[in-house]
Amino acid sequence: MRKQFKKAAAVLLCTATALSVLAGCSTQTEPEQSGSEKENTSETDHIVVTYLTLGQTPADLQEVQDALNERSVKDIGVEVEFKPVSAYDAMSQFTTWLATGERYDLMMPLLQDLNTYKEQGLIQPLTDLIAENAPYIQQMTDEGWTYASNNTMDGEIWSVMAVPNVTGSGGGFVVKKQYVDETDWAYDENKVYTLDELGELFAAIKENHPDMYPCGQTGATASYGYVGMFDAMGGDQATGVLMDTESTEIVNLYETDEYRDYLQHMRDWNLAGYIYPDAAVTDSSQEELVDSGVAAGYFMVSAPVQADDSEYMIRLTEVFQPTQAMGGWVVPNTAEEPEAAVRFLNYVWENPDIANLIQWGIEGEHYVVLDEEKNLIGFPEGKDATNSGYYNTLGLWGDTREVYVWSESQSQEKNDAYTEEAMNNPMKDIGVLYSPSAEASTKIAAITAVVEQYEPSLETGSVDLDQYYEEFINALKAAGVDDVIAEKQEQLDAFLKGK
Amino acid sequence: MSDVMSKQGKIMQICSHIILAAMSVMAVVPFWLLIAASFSDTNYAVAEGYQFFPEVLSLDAYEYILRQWAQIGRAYLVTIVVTVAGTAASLIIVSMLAYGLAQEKLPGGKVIFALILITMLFNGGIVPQYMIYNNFFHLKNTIFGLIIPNLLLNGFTVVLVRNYFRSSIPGELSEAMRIDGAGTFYIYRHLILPLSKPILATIGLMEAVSYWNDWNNGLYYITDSNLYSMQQLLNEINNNVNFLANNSSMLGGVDPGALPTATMRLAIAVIAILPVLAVYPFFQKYFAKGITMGAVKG
Repeated sequence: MRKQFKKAAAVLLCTATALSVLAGCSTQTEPEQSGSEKENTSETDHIVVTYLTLGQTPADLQEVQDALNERSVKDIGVEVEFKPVSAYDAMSQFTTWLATGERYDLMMPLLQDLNTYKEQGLIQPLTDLIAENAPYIQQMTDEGWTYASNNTMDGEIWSVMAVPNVTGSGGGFVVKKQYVDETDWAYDENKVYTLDELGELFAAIKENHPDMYPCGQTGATASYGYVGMFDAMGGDQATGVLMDTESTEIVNLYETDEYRDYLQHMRDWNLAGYIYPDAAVTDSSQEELVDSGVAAGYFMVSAPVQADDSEYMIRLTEVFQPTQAMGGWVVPNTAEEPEAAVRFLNYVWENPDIANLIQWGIEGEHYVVLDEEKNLIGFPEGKDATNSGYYNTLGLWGDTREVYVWSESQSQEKNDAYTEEAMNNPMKDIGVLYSPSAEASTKIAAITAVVEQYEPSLETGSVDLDQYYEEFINALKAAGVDDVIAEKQEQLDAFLKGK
Repeated sequence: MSDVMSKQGKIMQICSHIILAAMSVMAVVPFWLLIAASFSDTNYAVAEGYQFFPEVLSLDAYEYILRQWAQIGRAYLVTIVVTVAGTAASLIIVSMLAYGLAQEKLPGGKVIFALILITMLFNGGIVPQYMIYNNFFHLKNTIFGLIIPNLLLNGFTVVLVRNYFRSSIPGELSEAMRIDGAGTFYIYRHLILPLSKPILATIGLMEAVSYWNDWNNGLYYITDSNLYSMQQLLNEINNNVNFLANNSSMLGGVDPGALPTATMRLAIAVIAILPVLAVYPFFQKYFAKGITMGAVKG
């Protein structure tokens, strides 16, 4: 009996201890970790930074982080702690993290809508922080670079994006060289081809390879954005677009003749056997279709980086400069060291070797420089994609024009030429981002649902056009697309007037 | 009379065999397709779709798994540790709680029981739950994040086990032990537990399977790929491959070739279900017995 009583007492004691520990946690205002580390390093600021992965944290991340801290603590007194998270999870989780008060000093909401973060009060305006702590970024912004200022909302900068290595957009079709070279179809790098001319190429390829589907369009990735030319003022293409660089009139993309013509081509090509029969529903990527010899190519933005050495880029529109609302690095409201965070951004943007360190790892261990002039790197001996501890990371840091590349086809020369072409052909809405009212936001949700329902089957030519196209347009109108377009037009007019 | 009966019985027999056969085919076919597809050549699978009897076989997908064993083996280990530790902890907590509640004389027993029933009907919602586990218990990126939330204890199993204790273990037995001088814990350990093996095996299996198959906890509480479980790894690979495919125009510099192809993902899925398939038959004999025994008498 006594023995059992002792046991029971022990259990009770354990419970009590556990409870008191929990009580201790709940009364603490700060997470323990950051508190204790701050004490240890009173002179260096510790910042917590998201590190986006593609599902696998690089094995050598800790090593790279140590190498980075060795330099950044000495240079700017900032110590970085990377928190790995997969890019896909980031889409759904960042807002929860911030809403529940988790600490992050720098965060990368890749391909997410910054407006949501701003409206929910999750991120801080950066204009003053940049002016005080980031002289290099401030200077470049003053010189007219837009990688910070293109995320301006309500007169404040909200994020800083990596300087893109190529700017501009345009419709294109990437195709394996071997299939084109077999035919007598003439390829010219700078010529803008029509869809009819592209159809002739498909016919020729189909003749040489009857089992093949030349056009690797899939329902998941189909987008008129890779085929035609338009700009959606930083919003969804379903909410109204400008159709060319001279236009100032917002129209419904899906009602335009250009779009109808594109659908007609898709339908014809599908019936002619140029498109993979399961295209609307397949979960294979376009690259997979091409690599496995099912398709010859696919529609893609015509930037030179999109085609590798074995591919031609066929242009389908002229190159132009669209508005950009790509998101970028933000400083959440839960940040404890916002100044240090912005100071760190400035440090990386100013020093390409730091950006290289974060993106590609340690020289000699994770990569070797093959050609200093072309910024070309490769694997060190004995290493390859499968055994490198730091490879295939997302390029989210610094000035990506200065960051190393792995293939000559991505050389900066071609990128610069493309960028220059685009800069000379800007859309009229550059400098303003569509910011939907609450009412419009609800309608946009309904509109995108309609688009998701019809777009994959229409754009792969899988269904009868006469019947479903009309249904699609009517559904869009019922969802309120015209009201949204009118609101966007109003905002554009106000911007053009003030210019 | 007896002729009619047997005739009816025969028709009944034939019908139930047909229905059961159809259902087993429905259960087995997806598994077969999964296994067949994981052994087919990637290019062939993309070109021809997944076939029940692939013409071009390849072991590439399994070679990939061997190459990536550092990551996949780790995830395997995490899943095994979580399943074993979680199931054991869960069984101990559930059986102790149920034993207490099974005592008719327990003061406030009805209130406690009602509280448990309430958790079966309502929960706090995902954001408050996340806040509690993350901000107060600091479960994020620890192995406990995979064990404790949602799975450790659920009201349904407590009720099942309590009813089993009440209905299937005669009260006289524990009374007799008590008269002989046994304490409460002694009775629990030496009488109740041995007599309730069927129900414990049943809920143990249910819990083990839900731990094994869980990826939700991983989604919310684990961001470090060193702590990924098997299912989460698979989920992450799938989602990120699609994410990359859908956004490749904006994510220059990434090498999609370094990501696993469809057949490789299927092979990982095969590896992930193997242990469950292997263990299931051994527990099956307890399964039906345990549930019905606990279910009678409310």
